[in-house]
Amino acid sequence: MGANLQINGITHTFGRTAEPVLKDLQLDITAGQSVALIGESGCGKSTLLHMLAGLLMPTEGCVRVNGRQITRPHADWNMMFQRPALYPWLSVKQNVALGLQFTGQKQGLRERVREMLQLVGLSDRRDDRIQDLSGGQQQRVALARSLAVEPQMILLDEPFSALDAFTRRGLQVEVGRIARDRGITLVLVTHDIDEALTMGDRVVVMGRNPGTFRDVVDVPLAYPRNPVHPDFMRLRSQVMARFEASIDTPASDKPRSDQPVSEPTFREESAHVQL
Amino acid sequence: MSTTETARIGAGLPPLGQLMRGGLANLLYPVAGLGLLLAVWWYGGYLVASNPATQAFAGFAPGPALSATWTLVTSGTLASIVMPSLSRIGQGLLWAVVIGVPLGILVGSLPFLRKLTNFPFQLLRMVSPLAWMPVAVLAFSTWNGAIIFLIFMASVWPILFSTAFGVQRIDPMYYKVARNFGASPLATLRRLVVPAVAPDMLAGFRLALGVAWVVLVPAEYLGVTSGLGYAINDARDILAYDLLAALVLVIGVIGFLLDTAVVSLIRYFGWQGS
Ligand SMILES: Nc1ncnc2c1ncn2[C@@H]1O[C@H](COP(=O)(O)OP(=O)(O)O)[C@@H](O)[C@H]1O
Ligand SMILES: [Mg+2]
Repeated sequence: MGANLQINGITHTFGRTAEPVLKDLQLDITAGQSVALIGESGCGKSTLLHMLAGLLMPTEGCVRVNGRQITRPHADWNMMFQRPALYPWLSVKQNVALGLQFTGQKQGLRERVREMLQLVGLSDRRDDRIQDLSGGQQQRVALARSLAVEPQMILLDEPFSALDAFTRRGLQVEVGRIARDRGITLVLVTHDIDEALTMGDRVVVMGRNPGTFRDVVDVPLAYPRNPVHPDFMRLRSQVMARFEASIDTPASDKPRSDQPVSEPTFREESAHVQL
Repeated sequence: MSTTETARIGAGLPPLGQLMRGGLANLLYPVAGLGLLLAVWWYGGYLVASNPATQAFAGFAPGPALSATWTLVTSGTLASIVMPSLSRIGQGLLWAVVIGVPLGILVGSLPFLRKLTNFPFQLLRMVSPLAWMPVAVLAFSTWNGAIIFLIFMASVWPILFSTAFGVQRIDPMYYKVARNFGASPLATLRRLVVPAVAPDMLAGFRLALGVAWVVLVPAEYLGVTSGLGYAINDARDILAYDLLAALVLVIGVIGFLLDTAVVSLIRYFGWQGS
């Protein structure tokens, strides 16, 4: 069963004197829902995700899961990182079992690992060393490792961004399907609008300096989503427009010296959808 | 060597001729090297024996030495000489691991402790283990205890430093993964830190074994009436130079075997290779 997630007035400042990185974030995510957060690099996406995972405490506000405030990490909600960070001294199946071992669950461990390997299609690689797997296969192992502890919520921090386009697309579809089948709540951080639209029931557009939620776009498309379907493309333009708007209207009137609004290369890139 | 071997196995069986050539080439150098050593030894022995001034030391030559070695092995005295030495080495190394590994993990994980201990540890490390001899004799009621202490003093540093180095090298993401699953500190130690540093720790252990083995013989000149060091001293006193040479040979061979055993341990636990 998925978790109800409540982001409750979060403001965060690193250190004492610095400007806040995140400001007044408010969002409710119902159990089993999938939400994609998009925003420029440095807008605080990873910071927020670490808070949802209980790896970092916000300076103001709180995160609630099923009504209870999160104060530390827990296997019921775990995070998948950009790098799979598998342990190289363990085999594929031992890596999948790792979360279970960390949480001290011994019962039915073998069966669970076998089931997870089957789920991610790596049964025949179970005894391999992880160094012998491709990047996509390694991320599958990390997915199996996350799923093995039967989490209520999975937090994904740009987990596919290091993969080639085909592998990435395959994993986006697969992770979304698995999460829906199991009713797992998903929060996905990405800077790829297509990824957000492929996986999210909702897309949250973030602004930066400080990081805020600018816009929430509902994605009322059936799964699996077809990126060349007219509805998909219409939504893509819509999200893109909101995204552009979030860049053009900085929340603070401070000059943004590090990323000029009218930087031409940025425009050029945004025309290719992947930001 | 292991890389090429794995590659060869991975590529399927090579033709027989190639295997023969590879196998022979692998054997050729060690055998030739050993032969060269024997030749130098034999020639040295010949020089010593043919010079009237040094004729008394003719027992050092390969002939008498090897026959003394044979007697040593077949009479069973070898075991009674070697066992006490191995026991001391074992105990000294055991203490070095028991103290060096946890301390290394602490020093590696806590930056303030690393900064605090760096200078004193480097200083202590540079003291020759044998310089501790008078201290050891005062501090321990038995000679045996003193020798084990000296071996410990020689071998704790490589183990401690390699372990600390290994801990510092652990990818911070690995800790994040552990924390992410709500792992307890103990589980993190057991499932992450210990396996992660195992290769570095074993590399340190190999160095430790090397210095311990070197320190053992002079340490056994102390008080005790057993072990390789004592036997060498004894052989010298009774002018049994063939026996002395045999013991030197035995020390070399056993040291080599111990090192080989540790190398295979490193192979077994090593996950960093290729
Ligand atoms: N531990 C930290 N200490 C200080 N500043 C940090 C820390 N982590 C992140 N930041 C800053 O917070 C901002 C948001 O970072 P991050 O959450 O990683 O952004 P994103 O994931 O959206 O690219 C950045 O300006 C970054 O420099
Ligand atoms: Mg980030």
